[in-house]
Amino acid sequence: MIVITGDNIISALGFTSEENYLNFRRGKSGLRFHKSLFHLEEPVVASAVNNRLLNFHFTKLAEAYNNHKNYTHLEKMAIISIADALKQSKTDMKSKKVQLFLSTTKGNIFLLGSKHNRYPSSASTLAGTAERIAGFFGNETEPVVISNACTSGICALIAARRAVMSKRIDTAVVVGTDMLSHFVTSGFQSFKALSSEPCKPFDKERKGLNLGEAAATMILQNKRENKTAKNSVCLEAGAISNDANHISGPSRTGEGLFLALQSCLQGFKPEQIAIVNAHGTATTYNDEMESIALTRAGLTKVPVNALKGYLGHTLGAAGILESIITMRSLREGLLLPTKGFNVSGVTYPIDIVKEPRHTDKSYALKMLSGFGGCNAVMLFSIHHDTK
Amino acid sequence: MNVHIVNSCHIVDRKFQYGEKILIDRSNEQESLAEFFSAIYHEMKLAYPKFFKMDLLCKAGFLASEALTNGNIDKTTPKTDMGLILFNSVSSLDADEKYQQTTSGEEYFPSPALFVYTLPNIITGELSIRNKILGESMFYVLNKYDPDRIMEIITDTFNDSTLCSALCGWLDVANEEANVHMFLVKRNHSPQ
Repeated sequence: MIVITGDNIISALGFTSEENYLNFRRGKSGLRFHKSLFHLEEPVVASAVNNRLLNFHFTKLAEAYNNHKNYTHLEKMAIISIADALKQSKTDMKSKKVQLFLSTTKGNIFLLGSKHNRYPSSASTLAGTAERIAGFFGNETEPVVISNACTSGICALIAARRAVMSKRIDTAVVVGTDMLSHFVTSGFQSFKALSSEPCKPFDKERKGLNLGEAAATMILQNKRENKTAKNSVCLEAGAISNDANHISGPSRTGEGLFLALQSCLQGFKPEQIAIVNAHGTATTYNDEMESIALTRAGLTKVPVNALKGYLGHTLGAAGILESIITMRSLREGLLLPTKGFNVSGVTYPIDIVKEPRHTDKSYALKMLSGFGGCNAVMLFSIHHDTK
Repeated sequence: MNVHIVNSCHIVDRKFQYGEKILIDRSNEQESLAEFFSAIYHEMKLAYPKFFKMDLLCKAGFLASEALTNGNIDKTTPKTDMGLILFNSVSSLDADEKYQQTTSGEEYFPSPALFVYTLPNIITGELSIRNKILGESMFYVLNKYDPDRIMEIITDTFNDSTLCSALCGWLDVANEEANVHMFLVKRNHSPQ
């Protein structure tokens, strides 16, 4: 089975998965009000990674790896994240059987059209960025970039899981990352999709999303069941489906998300699922669509939460980051509250987690939906001792 | 391999090619890539007005996919067993540049209609809508065109899904050049 042997989150709430998780559990938020982020006229609520801390961690790492090239903010986040996850999984990145999977929507987009030459031209392409990140660790296997809008994180996990199952590689290092930029922030503003307050997923007063920057890593390996450590996280099944309806708006029937949920649930019963960690961007249409798809999939009795109220929408990192937090909480038998949620503002009666709850179940579903009509779902489990 | 290629379509050097056969050759015309794509559209007698609001990446994919699907698949029935597996090296570079122009000039007016195309996977949405494809849609970015790696990923996909067919291919569109190699694949019938 495909298990996670190392993970990490770099965000406004910490530089390890544990630090992030503890801050989520305390109900902390990394979202801050920015009066004129990137000199944009409209104020923005967003979560940013502390640059001073990032450079502090990166300098130590650059010394340890004896690598003194210039890396961008985004590349530094990804590299620090991978390095921490590698330590836990004791993976040798130099092996040809190790491959990097990068989930990102816009990579180093701030370099587009820029004239300064601090970074080589390879940093301005997604494939080049992936090669630079893998290259930091001396990894020479050609990386794969998955750029499927907001669903990239789960899509990358699905692609990586397949590559490990094919036995071409034995370890997949999956890193999801996006950084705050003028490009993306102005674009979401032009869509009127941003809320000027901390976002309120599934709430009746939700006004839109907040952006956030982060990197999150999962290391995937194939392990025999009896060789799998207790409490390991397993990737049971993943599915991707397209709405075939609209390129920038969610489907009114939740068709693609419903199909992906149905596919992941094959052989499972809703009663087995502890939690559905929704995409929950806090835009009117996304959250409504998710409630429709969950209802159609027979999941109205399963608790649902959304984590965008803690760090905002971290785009290419979101699927991996939110899965790590969800599985950490499940290990403790805890369901985290949906920060920002108060009164349901979706038409269909789903069970949104408002206060922390206890669970003794060990399966969780992670859902993502995005532009291009794409939807992705992953079913995770906690491995219990089989003896 | 668990799939076979049914047919292929290529757009290279301002030529539009179906399988081995060059259908349209405009390599001697002095025209923009957008004009070249419009010429193919009219030559193929297509009637899909949405084509004209697409970015160049989507236009390229749309034209190649029309050549592959017309007469081969039923475009009106929703298909959960058909997917889209696309690749390139430049992501949405052309749309990125055009969107950025709307935010960096003297007149700041970011265009949502342009911003939406600054994601490479928008083409999977356009082609899903056109052909009612509800199965898996993926967009991968690789450093260069490598048919073996592409076939590996397609094979992996078919091993781990219920897809029966997929529109696949390489779609690099940037700097007024298109390098497109699209193909329709179908799952092999497993020997009983």
